[in-house]
Amino acid sequence: MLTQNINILAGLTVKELLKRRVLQVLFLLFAFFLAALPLWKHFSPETEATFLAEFGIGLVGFFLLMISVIIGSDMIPRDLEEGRTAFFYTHPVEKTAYLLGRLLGCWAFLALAFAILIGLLKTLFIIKGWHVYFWPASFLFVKYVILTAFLFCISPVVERFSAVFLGLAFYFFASSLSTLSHLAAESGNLALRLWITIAGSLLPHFEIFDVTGKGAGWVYIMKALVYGLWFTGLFVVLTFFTLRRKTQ
Amino acid sequence: MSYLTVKGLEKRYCESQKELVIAGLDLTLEPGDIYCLLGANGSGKTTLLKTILGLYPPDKGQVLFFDGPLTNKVKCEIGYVSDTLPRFPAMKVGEFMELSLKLYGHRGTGIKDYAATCLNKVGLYAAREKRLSDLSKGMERRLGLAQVMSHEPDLLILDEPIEGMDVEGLLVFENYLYQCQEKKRAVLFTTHLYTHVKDLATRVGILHKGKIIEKDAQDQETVNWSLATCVLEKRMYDEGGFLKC
Repeated sequence: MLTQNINILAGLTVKELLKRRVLQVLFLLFAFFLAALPLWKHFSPETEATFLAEFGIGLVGFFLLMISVIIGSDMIPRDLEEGRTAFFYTHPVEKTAYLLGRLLGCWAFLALAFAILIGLLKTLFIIKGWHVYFWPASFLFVKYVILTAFLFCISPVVERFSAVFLGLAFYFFASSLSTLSHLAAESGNLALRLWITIAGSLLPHFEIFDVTGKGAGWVYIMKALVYGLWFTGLFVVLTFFTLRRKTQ
Repeated sequence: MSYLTVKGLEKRYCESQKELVIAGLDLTLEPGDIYCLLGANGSGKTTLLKTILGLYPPDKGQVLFFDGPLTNKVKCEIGYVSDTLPRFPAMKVGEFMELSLKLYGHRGTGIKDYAATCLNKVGLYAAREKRLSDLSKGMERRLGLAQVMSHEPDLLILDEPIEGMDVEGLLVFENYLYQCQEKKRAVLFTTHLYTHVKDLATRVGILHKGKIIEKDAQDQETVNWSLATCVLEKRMYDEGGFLKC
């Protein structure tokens, strides 16, 4: 029953998000991106490839971040305001099923958006004869998934603008932590390196990576999984208690 | 076995509020009871129903369903319709029915047909492709009724189920209440259409100052007078409107 309810809720979430026409906006942006391509033809082929890869994936990432912030911070408060939470609670739906269903639906939608956009980008690279490694791009996706989870954690507790602010603050904090870990790796200070290693293993942070380099692989995926689990746990516990307090 | 037992229920809108919206309320529903809850605007009818269902946490007291606590298994035996439909963006009437059925555990390919049958019972078959946002108040109420009829619960809790309904809708509701009584189901519903009480309910209560004053459902005149007195009293003492006038 739990799994079935999670599936129903996740499917409903994807449908709702598709009806909001977010994907169409992303396609328009991608078309805009394609239209700007001729402007870069004065670069050398290598520079153009690197720039385009980083810019393209960065662009996809940025808009996914925006989507994560918007849908993540909005979903549960909207459900409460518009009577959907009451509708689910008066049906035999477990709180866990409701929360996980919403979260998984959100992730599934982001995965769909990511797959389409990266697929289009990859097609473009293949046409141009460039090669871009897949794993760093996948890790980039997972970090937005983590961000969505984070926003789900805080969304029932704070107002929307605070959620957006906190989401961005978290993003910059995680980015700063990854910069720090790189700096620490190069420093001779053992205590600093140890501190950063501990902090890096406990707190999620985003890796700095070269999308055209060879540094990516299963390590990224494993790290992403650990971060994902860390945040899913936090999300379930925090949201469960908040909802119990707010809505029974 | 009582289908619903409410013992000493207390509820405030917020912790800082001194006055109780529900003040030590007791209520028991037996099989076959059709209970109509009346009251002035703002007397706490919706709050009471939501508190009973656990949508609002009670400050004090106990609510038992079928002599036990509210669990997911028990929820399968309860049908609830709120005073407003939940807003699902761009969802159609048929899809809403299917969603409700799925959440009650219906599976398989026949779900679409069963949803259509339920809609047909309340005269909404033709509107199955309409969006929820395009429904009138009366149609919303009919849809709510179809939703609770679909899984045949033993206990129904309905908030303003006949508000905005036309004559045909009222007849469907009345027939359904008769069926519930025959099948020994219990119904608790609120309404402002107090003149229909005699035809619809076997028991009637007026929610006033957080407590229920029970009246004889067949004595329509006494019900009317008691309700009018309660409404006037609420205006006089709670809001001071009567005195200012």
